[in-house]
Amino acid sequence: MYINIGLGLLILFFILLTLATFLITLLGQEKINKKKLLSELDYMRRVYADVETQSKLLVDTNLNFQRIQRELDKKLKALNTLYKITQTVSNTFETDKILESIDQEDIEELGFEKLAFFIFSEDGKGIRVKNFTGYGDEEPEIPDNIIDSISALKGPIYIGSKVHMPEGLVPLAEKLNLTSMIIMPLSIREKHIGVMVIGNTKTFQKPSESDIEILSLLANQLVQSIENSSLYEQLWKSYQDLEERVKERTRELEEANKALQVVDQAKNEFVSAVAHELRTPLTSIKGYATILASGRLGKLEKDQQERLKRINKHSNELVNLINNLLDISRIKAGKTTMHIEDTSLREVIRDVEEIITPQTEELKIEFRTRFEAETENIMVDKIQLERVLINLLSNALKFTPELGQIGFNLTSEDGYIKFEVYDTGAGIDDKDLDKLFNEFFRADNNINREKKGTGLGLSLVKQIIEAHSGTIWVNSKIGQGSHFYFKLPIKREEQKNG
Amino acid sequence: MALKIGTGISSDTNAYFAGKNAAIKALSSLGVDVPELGIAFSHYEYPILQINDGIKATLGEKNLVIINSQANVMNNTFKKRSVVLNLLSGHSYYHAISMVKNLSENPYVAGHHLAWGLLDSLEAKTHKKESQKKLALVFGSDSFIQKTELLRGLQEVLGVRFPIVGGIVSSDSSLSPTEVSFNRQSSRDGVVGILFAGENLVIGVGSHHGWIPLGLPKKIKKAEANRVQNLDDMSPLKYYFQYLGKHLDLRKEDTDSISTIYPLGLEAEKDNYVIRFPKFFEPGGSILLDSQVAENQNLRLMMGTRKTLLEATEKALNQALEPFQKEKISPKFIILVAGIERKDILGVDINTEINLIKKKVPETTKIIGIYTRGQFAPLGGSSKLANTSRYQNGAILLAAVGVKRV
Repeated sequence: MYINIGLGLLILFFILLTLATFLITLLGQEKINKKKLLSELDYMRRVYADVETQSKLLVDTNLNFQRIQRELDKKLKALNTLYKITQTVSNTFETDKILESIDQEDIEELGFEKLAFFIFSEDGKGIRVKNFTGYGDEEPEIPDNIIDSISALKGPIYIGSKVHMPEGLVPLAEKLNLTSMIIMPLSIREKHIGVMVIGNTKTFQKPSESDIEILSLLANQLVQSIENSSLYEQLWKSYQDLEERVKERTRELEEANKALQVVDQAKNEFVSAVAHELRTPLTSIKGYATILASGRLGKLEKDQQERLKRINKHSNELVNLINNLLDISRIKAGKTTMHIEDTSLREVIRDVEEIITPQTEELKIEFRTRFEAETENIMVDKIQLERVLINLLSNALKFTPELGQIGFNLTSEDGYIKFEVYDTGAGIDDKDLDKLFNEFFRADNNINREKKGTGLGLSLVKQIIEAHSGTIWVNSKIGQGSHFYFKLPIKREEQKNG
Repeated sequence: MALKIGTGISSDTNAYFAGKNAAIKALSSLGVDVPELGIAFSHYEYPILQINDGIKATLGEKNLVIINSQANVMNNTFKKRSVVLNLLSGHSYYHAISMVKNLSENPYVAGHHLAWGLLDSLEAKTHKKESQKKLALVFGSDSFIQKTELLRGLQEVLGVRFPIVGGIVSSDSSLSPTEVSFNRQSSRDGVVGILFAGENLVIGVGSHHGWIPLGLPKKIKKAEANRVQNLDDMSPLKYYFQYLGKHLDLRKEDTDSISTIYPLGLEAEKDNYVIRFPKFFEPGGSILLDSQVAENQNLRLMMGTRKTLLEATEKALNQALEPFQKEKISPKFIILVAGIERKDILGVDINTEINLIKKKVPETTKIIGIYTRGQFAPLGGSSKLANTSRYQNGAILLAAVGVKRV
């Protein structure tokens, strides 16, 4: 029995020992687990704290970055506004249009709601609203006695709220319905011309230096534009005055010209009438002189014959003069029709040579013609062209001494035939060149004083050439001879077109 | 004449002439075709009925829906004060229009009424072709808080997975009411919808926002309507302060822009957040959001950068164009509804966002759109069936419409 009791106690002891070991192990494990959990929790706390710290850092960095970005945006928008103004300025010089180019959205982009421009009068005693934005269609009122307060401003001022408003500017803020504002003086060459007021209906945070810088830039650009606009207006006004004067003078000149044309026409008609009237009796005189000279009315003494010859000669000269006068009058009046026809240039040369050669031989003057034109024919009045050439060559003969040289060349030039009539004669003084083609002009020289002439030949030549849509000019130097050039179109205008 | 589009924009300061000029340009862009429907987006400062009269003086009596906007887009032009008009003509599609007033009384019921109105109108036009309905374009005035309720009402009738897109129109200030109109009926507390249907109509919808989650999520422990009061025993202001610290000065003007960069993201599905911008930080530390919010929802601080926003635009565009690539056609037009907050972050790059879209579609695809505070759009586009439309803020929604080759 004792053995059983002892065995039982031993078993009980072992059970208790196992239980105790188990409990000790369990408690140890729990402690380890708890420690592990606490360590994990601690780790999580640290991770959370890290996340929070990192998040705060990120917020801080991002916020600063976004502020910088906003500042940059503001500058960019201001630059855009400036660019827009510049664009407007390049299209218009109207101050109102330049100021109107800043619209509500531009002001809002710069962080403001309202904008108004005040301009002082010339004497600085008055003030008026030049332009406004953000007030609808109603022009903001100008408070009384405000000029002193704003004309004294030397630089931009910022008023952040009504509390900080200088007493003198309160009425302005009230009339403009602004709680915060920036007043920017507008000056041209140190002259105060007005102010730009930009502001908000609510309290505005202190503008940064760059805000002020941007607004100053804007104000300067606008002032510059206004100045340019005013200068342009002055310039435009002067230009218009000048143009008006030019128009007036032109009108006067036109009237004078018309009067001259009337006089010229009257002169031509008079010359034409007189020439006609003279030609009839002259023909009779010439006829009777010829009959008398023939001896049919009785034999004449030698002296009588001599005098009749002179009558005949002078009558011929007078007839030539009258004919030339009549021709000039007719061409000028457009009464003479050019009989334009396809004319052989070689034929013209031949005809002219036939008339001129005997005279050159008699005067011992060399006469040359050179044909270098690319075309054989020209559309002209043949008789009139020959008349021009004979006239010019006769002049050449007249002014060329014995053993001298005269001649003419024909060349082609861009649809024209260029004629050159030259001589190695006395030449023409520079001062006479401009007047050479005037009617009745005769250069003052020995030859002209010796030899008679009407002063109508070159004028007639010019009229004939111009009637053919040609031009004539001359190169000459005293002692070196003269070169008369004229160009005639190969084809008539209607032929070219058609 | 499958489906033809004409677009016109005008920024005349006079509302009547802005409408008239936009209509003249849109008609000229449409060519010889007769328009059947006009959708106009007009800046909220323009009186909506004057715009209506200006457009109708040119168009005559055609169906015309006008929606207020904060800024408009036409092709690659971004303009705040403007009227953009999109004219539709052709026989490849049907449209039904409905408008419900007194929206704020019960937005959920208004959603039901609008949806039934659209279906009834479509039925009357098409005779049992309701199954061909493809897209609902819905715009409501910003006169109520329960925006998700309006959407719930619409989805219960039109289908939970039916693409309902559009937005809540907004203005720069809560004092300026917003308006929607259908012909000469206008409402500052209303919602207007256009249902597009047609067997061969191809629709692609893409939508993303681009804000990325930041920091640790919090559970909304206490919220009432659009007011969030407690986030894991912390006030929302404190939660903001924890991350923004010295940057968060409620007296400063740029608090608005800070909350634009760092809005809150309501967890909608795994790793997908619907953006909510705090409209106002209240003295007790609570915040007001644009729409109602439910308790026990997870919420996180989000962060937006130009890069992430532009990436989101690209993603939305790819999703919107996916059905067209399959059909090997181009969309006839794309309607863009984007959060005005995007403009605050994108700054001058707002044009980059528009050009990004313009570059990916042919010249013939017209783009019109508005910038507003709220958007109805599936989170991530309509190509995934699970994506139902949600009321979002800050998102860019692109709804592309085209016609299959027959």
